[in-house]
Amino acid sequence: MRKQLTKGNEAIVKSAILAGCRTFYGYPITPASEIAEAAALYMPQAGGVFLQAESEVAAINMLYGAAAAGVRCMTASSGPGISLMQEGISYLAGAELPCVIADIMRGGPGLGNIAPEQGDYHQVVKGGGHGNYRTIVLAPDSVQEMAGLTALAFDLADEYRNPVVVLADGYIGQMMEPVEFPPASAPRPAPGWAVQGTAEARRNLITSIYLEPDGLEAHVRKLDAKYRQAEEREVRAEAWRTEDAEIVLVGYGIVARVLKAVVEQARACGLAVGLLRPITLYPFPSGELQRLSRRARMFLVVELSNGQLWEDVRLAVEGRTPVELYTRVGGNVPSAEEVLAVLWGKARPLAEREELVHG
Amino acid sequence: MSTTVTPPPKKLNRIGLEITNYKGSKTTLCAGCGHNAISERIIECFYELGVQPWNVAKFSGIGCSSKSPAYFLGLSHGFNGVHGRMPSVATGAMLANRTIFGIGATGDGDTASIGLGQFMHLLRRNLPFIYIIEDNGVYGLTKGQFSATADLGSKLKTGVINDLPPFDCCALALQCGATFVARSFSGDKRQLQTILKAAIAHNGLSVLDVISPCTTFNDHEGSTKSYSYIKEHDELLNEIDFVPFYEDIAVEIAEGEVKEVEMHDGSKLRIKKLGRNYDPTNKFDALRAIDEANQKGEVLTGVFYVDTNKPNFMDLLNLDDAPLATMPESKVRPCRDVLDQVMEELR
Repeated sequence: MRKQLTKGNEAIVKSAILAGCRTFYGYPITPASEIAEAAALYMPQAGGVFLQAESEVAAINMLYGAAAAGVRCMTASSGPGISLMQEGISYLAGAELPCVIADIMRGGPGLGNIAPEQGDYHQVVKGGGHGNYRTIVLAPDSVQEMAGLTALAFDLADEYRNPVVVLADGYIGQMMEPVEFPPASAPRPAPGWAVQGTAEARRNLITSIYLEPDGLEAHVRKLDAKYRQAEEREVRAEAWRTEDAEIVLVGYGIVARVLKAVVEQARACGLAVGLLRPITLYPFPSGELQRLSRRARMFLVVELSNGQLWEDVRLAVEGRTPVELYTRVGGNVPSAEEVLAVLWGKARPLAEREELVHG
Repeated sequence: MSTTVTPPPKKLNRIGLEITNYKGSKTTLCAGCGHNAISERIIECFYELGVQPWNVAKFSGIGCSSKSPAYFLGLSHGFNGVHGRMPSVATGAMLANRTIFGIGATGDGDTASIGLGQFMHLLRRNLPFIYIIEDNGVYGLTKGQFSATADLGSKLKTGVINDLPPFDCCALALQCGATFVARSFSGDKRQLQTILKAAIAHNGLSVLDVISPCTTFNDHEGSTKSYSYIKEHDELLNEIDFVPFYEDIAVEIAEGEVKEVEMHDGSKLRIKKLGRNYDPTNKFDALRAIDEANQKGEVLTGVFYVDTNKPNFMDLLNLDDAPLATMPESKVRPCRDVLDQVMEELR
């Protein structure tokens, strides 16, 4: 298929349709509105349904119904709307229903602003709703990945019977890049567990209620086993020039694009720098970070949030290597030069300390 | 010979303030936006009636309409809440301090979509509050999607036709218990002023649905909330005049079948019927008039309903006259007798 110049938000919808999604319920919000706009245009053309819900609370509960009926379904929003959806996401996870949610992050907390940020990391990666559940979280860094990871999100959602979130900052949502879309996937038959209105599916029951403590404990353990399985099998990360890296930069989304430039510039200055870009934020590439920590003398986490990704990197590294942090928030993105200056500032005392020890 | 030019003396209202004391910052809304006209009417009415601006709290939600409180009453308190939850924020703040004069500027997205539940509960509580819906039938801030007040068959700029019937916010307000319900048009300066003044004098919930065309996304042919459509289809329900309590009745409205409603502060709202058998204190007449106009594709404007007898929410709750927010601890501490009674009940 020829490459198409596509906006990040639009790529999500085109890819969703190619993946067999025919159901979109949403509510407009900047900077995610183009997803609903594109869905309103393309879903009916593909024989599907688009509905502008009265709120994000309504949208996620429409997904709850659609997922229970066994169709591939999705919604999209940004921070404030995702906050409203959290209750529904908890129910979807509890009832083991697949769906795809795109979060195109903007500045927060509260009304914040509509400029790009990554402040939804905690509310999306850590769950955000009530109870013992996780969502699988995919973080694209290009429009091409908006398409690729959306398709993957539908497959993972079905495989794990769990909500999957495509978590992108406003930049990735709003930018335009050439995209090669995958061929349309074969139609998926309605899953055996779905409510289908047939005699065969009569016994199917979709619920998240387990009144007996032992029953709920068994259910939570079952969910947990799924998450452990995802942690074993679904971790994805891009390691960029890390083979000989003594300093490893960590960042996702638009930040990773900046950090690749930092790696090049730092190497031109003689610093052995590499980048680890988590593509799955849950499950988190902890194993890869641990492996890198054997050689690395320092990690530098760069994020558009206040140290939310940093916490997971520190948990993974477990104190073996110092984990430094540089953040910009409120809609600001650091330039490569800015990060390089920070990197120099942090690397120098490290070098001096080692000279002291070894000298 | 040089001449000195003396500037004309500044006009002061009855509490000694100039109109500039009631203005806000410069609007950032589109040129010609109906919301700007509503902001101007609010400035004029609060100035003319001499409302103390520092006593006023402005509440809003999310949307273009909810930006507008920045453009009026710059000396007042402002509270920009969560999308659709402004009624709850206002209820919370005003019960905590009942001396606040509350006014909300909100839109059709806040009111009729995401915040419909909050709106309806505000209506049944009869909080003394002015709730202005700057109603354009479209989501302007996210670049032009239909709202739930868009008329059936109305066309978007992109050519999309609305296939769902609208909520009529005035009919909702009537059914759910609002005690002052009116509709106006942002382009009708005199009518909107009169209605706003009466709402300021009303001691209960006032719902003002103001059709306020969106010049950017909903002012084209095929839209039923455009300037030209409203001008052609605006049907006056009644001719109204408002006389503040401190003024003698100067008759602007021609006597005829005039009904005079005395507001709580002694002001008078004078309503003249326009050729129909209509009683603004009869809810059923109001609902019928709204429904008949909607059937004909007319936009009926005027005061639909006034009820000055229903107790407001503060009275229902038996709130103390002093604001809870500043009440000294000595006054909120339960007395010995009450404590003893509680202990007795636990025995």
